[in-house]
Amino acid sequence: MLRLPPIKLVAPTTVQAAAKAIATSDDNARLVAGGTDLWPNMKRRHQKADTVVSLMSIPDLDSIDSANANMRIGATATLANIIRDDKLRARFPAFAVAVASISSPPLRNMGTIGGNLCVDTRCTYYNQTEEWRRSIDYCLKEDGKICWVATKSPKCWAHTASDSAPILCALDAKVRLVSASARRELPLADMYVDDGIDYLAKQPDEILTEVLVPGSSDSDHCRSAFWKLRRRGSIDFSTLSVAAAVWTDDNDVVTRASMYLGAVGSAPMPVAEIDTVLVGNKMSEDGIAEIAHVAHKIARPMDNTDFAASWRGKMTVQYVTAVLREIAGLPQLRMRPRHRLKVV
Amino acid sequence: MTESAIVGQWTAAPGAEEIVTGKARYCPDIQLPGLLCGKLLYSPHARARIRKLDVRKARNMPGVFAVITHADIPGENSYLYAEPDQPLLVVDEVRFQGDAVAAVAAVDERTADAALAAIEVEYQELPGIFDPLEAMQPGADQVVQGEDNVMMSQMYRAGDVEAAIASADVVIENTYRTQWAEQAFLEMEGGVGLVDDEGGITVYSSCQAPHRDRMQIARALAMPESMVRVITPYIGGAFGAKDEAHVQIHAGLLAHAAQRPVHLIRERRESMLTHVKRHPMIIDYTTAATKEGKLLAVKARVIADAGPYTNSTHEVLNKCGEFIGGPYKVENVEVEKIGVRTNNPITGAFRGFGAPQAAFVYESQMDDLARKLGMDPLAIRLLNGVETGTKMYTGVVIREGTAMKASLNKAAEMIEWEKRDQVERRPARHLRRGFGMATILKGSGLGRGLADHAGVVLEMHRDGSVVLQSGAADMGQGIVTVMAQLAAERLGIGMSSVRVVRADTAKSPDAGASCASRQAMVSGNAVLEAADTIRDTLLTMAAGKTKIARDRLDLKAGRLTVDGEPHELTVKDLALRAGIWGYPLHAESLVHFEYPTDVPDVTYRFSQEVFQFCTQIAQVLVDCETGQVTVERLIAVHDAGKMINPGGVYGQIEGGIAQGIGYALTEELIVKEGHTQNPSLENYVIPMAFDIPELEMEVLEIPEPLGAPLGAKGIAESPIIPTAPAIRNAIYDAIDKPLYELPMTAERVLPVPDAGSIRH
Repeated sequence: MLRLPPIKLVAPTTVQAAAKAIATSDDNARLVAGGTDLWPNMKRRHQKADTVVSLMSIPDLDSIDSANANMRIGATATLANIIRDDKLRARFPAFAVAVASISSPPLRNMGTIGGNLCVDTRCTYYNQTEEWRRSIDYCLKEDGKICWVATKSPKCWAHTASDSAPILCALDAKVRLVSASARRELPLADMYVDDGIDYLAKQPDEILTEVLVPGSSDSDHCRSAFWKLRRRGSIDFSTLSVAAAVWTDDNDVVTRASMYLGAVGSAPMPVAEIDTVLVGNKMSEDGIAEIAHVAHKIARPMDNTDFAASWRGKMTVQYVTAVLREIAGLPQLRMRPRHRLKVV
Repeated sequence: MTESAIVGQWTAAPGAEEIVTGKARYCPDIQLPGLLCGKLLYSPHARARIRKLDVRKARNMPGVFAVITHADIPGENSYLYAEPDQPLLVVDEVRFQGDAVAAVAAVDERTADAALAAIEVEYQELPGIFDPLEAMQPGADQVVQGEDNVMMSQMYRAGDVEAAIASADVVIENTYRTQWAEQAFLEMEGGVGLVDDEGGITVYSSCQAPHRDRMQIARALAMPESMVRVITPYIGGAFGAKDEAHVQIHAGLLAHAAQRPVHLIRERRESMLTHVKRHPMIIDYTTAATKEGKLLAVKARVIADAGPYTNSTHEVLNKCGEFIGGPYKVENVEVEKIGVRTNNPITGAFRGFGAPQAAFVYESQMDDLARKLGMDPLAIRLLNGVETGTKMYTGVVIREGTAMKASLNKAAEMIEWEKRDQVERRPARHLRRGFGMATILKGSGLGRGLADHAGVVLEMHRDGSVVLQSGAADMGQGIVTVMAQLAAERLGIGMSSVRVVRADTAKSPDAGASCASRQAMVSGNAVLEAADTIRDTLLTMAAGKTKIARDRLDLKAGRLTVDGEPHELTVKDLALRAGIWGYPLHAESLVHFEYPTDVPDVTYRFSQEVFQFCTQIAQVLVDCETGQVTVERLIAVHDAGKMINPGGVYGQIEGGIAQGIGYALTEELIVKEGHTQNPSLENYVIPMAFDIPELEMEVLEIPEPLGAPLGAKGIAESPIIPTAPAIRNAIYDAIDKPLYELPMTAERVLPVPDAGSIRH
């Protein structure tokens, strides 16, 4: 059986104590919340730690304040509790859809929003057992000298695997980061770096304590949608996800728009052109087609997950179109993902 | 017999409560004092010469009780499903990634892992042979030195194929390719070995064939079989991959070497790399027919990638060839069966045993033929379908074949086949809907000329309770339930009064392997025979006691009945009297599968003669721009002969279709240069609940006359067989594109030719 290596596990009961624990322990310390990503990764020896600091004993760090004008979600709120929150579902439906698409019910019962936002990047050549990786020789992401996805690349091409990240980026979410010596608020989009190894701008001693979603991004102010591509209707990670939010005035003229692509880069990839194309116009098939074309050029699907990379590229066009048609209220022309697009 | 009280009723399996509450003990749950952790060292290479193998360091580690290599095996160093060509522990060359080179037993898992790491192996990597077509070429490097890479090449001919093709109005030729498929059972292979009081070896084994395991373990230990005992605990699935022995032999070897009990369980990765997969096949297939659609000839050449070792390749190819013509009347058949050695994963038994590959081909081809002739897919199948009394090209005469056409007609009725063009075919701009059917046959039983028998021991105690001992392994398919039902039914007692002892070679007679959809038939008959002996004793005694004529008496619901009315005497009373007066309520039986002797010219070797017939119809939605396929509806009509446990029958159908949908659309072991890329259920994609529609099932009960208890026949394998071709034909119907390769992924469905011009 795949087993955890020996570790020292500490479970402080305050954020300050946790921040202190991570700051004062040896170099090789890590944070854990639900553990649905870290524990399997440690069992496969991808991620290594001598000390693991658990956030799960901190009271109230799992609270969800969805009634407040600006929604606040504690870092250890489980994914299952997020989709159970009626107010949250009503105000941020695409976010709820994205969270409901993550893995399976048992893992959503354990997995947390903070953990999902910080989830490790993934790659076909990396997310394998230790024996498998050793047999072909380790890759860049693991002290090796070669990227098996692009053998001449000096950079790791592992892809972002968070489903909550693209939609929360599109909804202008911020995160609060706390360390032993400082605290700061950061737009979520700025927390990601397009590098398969160093994919987070968060420092290792910083703890993501809460997620803030502005009231101006709720369903009274904007329309949003999330589509996720994978082979099955559950369990699998994204091989492509598209999240978008569109703000309109009383005449349905777009005043602002935002879109992020998941799993086709090491960070959620912004489609910045959406704003210039859509703003000042009503949403139209032509505008949607233009953005789909732009998004296709931004997406960098590689041979690092399920499906042929070229097919995932084509699918970017289709999924961007589908998401924007959903937002525009146009009839869908194609097959929907098999997971639920509405969370009840 | 009066109306069934238990047979035919939905019945919870004995032990169901233990299973769902976690109390049932599977191999990994077995705890014994001093139990050691066993581990195997597997090859990291697809092909390499072992230049050095030094286990001294590992042996000297504290906490390590045994380290064994090929040199430490007292007896034969080979598995023996059929050919003894796969070593238990490799001598000098590893030939696929699943070959094991050494085994350790240590005080705990961590020490065992450390011991594995301390074993010094120097490999010299060798260029492997990975393409079966290249491996077949004369002069190709040999996978096993001194052995032809073509391990099997057989031609079977019936009639005159060339003449029939020459005279045909239509000839269709295609090449089909199928993939490696994984059984994906829940419980990985495991064994627990221990030394018994007399120095013999006992092994708990998660297996399909306990008595054959016993033979293999004894052979490896150079011990008489009488000193080896194999016990099956609860088993979490097998689907063919536990038909051949796996780590239970090593568990026995390690226990013997360490003289302590040893636990040996494969991890998922090890399991997926080592056990047999469904054979990938390349099949060239030619169909010849008249312009009216009547089949004249079938010609096939089947090339199977066997991996380096034989395992059940001969048998699987034999079955593939036996059913290559489908459930159709066709007299001229030529099939060439070729098994080729490579350094790829080993291949062998998996639910259907060669028939799913054959069915994908013959049912795809049937739709291609119907298209070419402008015929309806249902009509062309009804025109050519076999019937009761049809003599197959193999020489076998079908005793009961009503279900072939009955299942077609019933399935067509359920989906309203005739009205399918009234269904919306373009529900959205890029979406197309299609309908496809497939109908198949698959034999039950091992086949004519093979040792196909089963025995049971049945004993009724003085309190009326019954113990039934059978060597039939229950891997979850439900043979224990079926046997308990049959015994309870015949003895007029409740299910709770029957205890079935899980197969244990020290107690249970040999029932052969749980494979080939055979146990319900052959072990079922053995139970009926033994139960009838006890029943006869009880009724004779009851007649003596009551002075009522024997033929008016029966046993039902725990009581004696007279002309169907309950009498005051209970079965318990009778059992107590039997005990006191010394009447033996003990019976043993040994039943052989009946192969008819009145068919003189069966020309196909090991042919099966009882057939599972079924039809499935799929309704799919295809996205023309993305290639994605959703199975919207799946109709399944199967013939069970007679349902003994309907829950078990429907469960088999549901499970088989789920596996069939995976085989059709998503499942594929990806192997590059002998290295499996996805040895995990994270990347080997089996369908989940979201991916399977609500199944629409119907079971026909047309009693089987041949060797079938109460008319019941095997049902285990057929459900997986028609699913892939039904979905393939539905995709063809939806987008006018025939596919010839499994799985039918989105990438392969694309490009959709001229989506605008699709005929619907």
